[in-house]
Amino acid sequence: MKSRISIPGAQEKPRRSIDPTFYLILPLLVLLIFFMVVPVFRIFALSFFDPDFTIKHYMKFFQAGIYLQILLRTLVISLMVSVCCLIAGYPVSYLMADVSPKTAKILIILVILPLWTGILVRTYAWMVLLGRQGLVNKLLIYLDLVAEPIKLLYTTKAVVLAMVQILLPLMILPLYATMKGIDRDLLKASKILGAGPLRTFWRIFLPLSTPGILAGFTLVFIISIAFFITPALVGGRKDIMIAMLIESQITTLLNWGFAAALSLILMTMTLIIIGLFHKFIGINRFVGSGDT
Amino acid sequence: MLVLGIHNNTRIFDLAIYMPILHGKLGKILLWSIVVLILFFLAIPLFVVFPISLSASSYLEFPPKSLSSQWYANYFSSHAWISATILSFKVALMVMAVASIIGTTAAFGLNRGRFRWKGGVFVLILSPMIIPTIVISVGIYSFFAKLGLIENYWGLVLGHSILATPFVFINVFAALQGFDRTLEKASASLGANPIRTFYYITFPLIRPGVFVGALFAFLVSFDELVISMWISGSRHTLPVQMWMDVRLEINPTLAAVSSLLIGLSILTFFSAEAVRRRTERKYG
Repeated sequence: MKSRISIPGAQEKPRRSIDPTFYLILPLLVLLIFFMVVPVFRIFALSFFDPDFTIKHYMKFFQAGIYLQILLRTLVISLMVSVCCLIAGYPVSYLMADVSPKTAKILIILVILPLWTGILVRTYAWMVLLGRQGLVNKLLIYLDLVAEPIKLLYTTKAVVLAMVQILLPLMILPLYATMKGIDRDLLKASKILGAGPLRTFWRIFLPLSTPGILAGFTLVFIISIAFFITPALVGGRKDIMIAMLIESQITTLLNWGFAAALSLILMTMTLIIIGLFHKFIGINRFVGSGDT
Repeated sequence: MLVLGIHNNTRIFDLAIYMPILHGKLGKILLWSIVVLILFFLAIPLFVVFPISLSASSYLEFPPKSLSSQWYANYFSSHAWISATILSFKVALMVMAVASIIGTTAAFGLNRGRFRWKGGVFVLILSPMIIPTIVISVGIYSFFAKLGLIENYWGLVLGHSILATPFVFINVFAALQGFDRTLEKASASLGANPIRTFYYITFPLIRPGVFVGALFAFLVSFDELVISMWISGSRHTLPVQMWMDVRLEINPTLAAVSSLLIGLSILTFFSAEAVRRRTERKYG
């Protein structure tokens, strides 16, 4: 009888026989194992065998300077995007956590709505905006900041700008979840004890919002390093990111082995970043349960 | 005197003395204006695409000098665009059905079941959101080529389902987490069998989660480019058609398509909102 009483959240001992509810998960597990895990591991295997065991693809990656340069470029662009997202996202989430629930709801809708529009559509909009005849150039000329249209499209700036616009909601949401959970009484206590608003923010609010900062930053960063569509469309010749390299190795060079090695490198980087994050903060922050 | 002077000078650089001003009305106004600017930045692509789609010129000039509906006419009369749209709808509707069913059952099983490796299964189910799509897509391309699933309707459905199902799973799982199990016990103690209990008690309560997850699954599939790009072959889905078009030549037809897509996303978003709101009113 004792074992039938279950307390939510308490550790339950797994039973010996398979629980029938396990079969409910089976269809999804089969789908994922056969059509994701197996294909991805086949690719990883491909990077080591040609047809005998070899590490030549990895040697190529680490020896030819150009590939390391592309990796570095990918990391730099991703870092710029993450930092810009944080700077732009922090005030928005701060305000969202500060206003009345009704206003917050409207702000959340405004933040989430762009997320429902496809990446391709939003990237295309930036191509329109940043073109020679685009709105940004017209505005710059109208304001007398430049004499004639300047090149905005097909530059690193364009890539960062478009990616920030696309990924900003993913920074704001975890930040907001964390800030919402901050105990406002702590801020009051700090004020009562004589700290000014700046000191209160610096010593109390900012440290308490750190988990949200890290969650948003990590999320934006790992998505950025695998970005493909936006840099391919608005970036210049220099702005090749690792995902584009994978694509071109397959479509134009049919170099599957090297593309496979690049995939494994990208995957490993992603897992290392997530692993670090999990070690320090805990993975459940991503799912938005930061305040529970 | 001298000491006082230095003291006063250093105070000028001490930000703290300005904070009362910044924190009062002025600070609020400053914060609001920054946030409004950022929100405008977030929304700006949505404002740009629509005017361009109505432009009479084939250059991308903004704002357009004169208006016409030619780019919409272009879209609706083009066989390539329309067949791509129909294919995308067919695939997305099937993905929505597949993802809703297996995502919901999986969330239910993982929430209720007691077995080993629960954490591992959880990570595996959410992994399509974490593993870079380009990596999954390369794997799928090579594997599907072997299975003959290239340029195949079911190949697209399978590929998209992998990306779409986690969204259903997360939404339903969250709904189940906040679920009061005593309701089910009450139903059972009043003599209802498990199927009846599920139909009358459990499902109505998790329905909004399923519904929102399903809409998300639809959109994920409808927007999916990276997997489709490899495996759709010569039968393009809508994003693949857009991708080909935008790389070939930039013309406002794409703006017309984008405007229609934005309309569709806004429609789906607000139906999801409406469902959420209705449940909130109903169940608090």
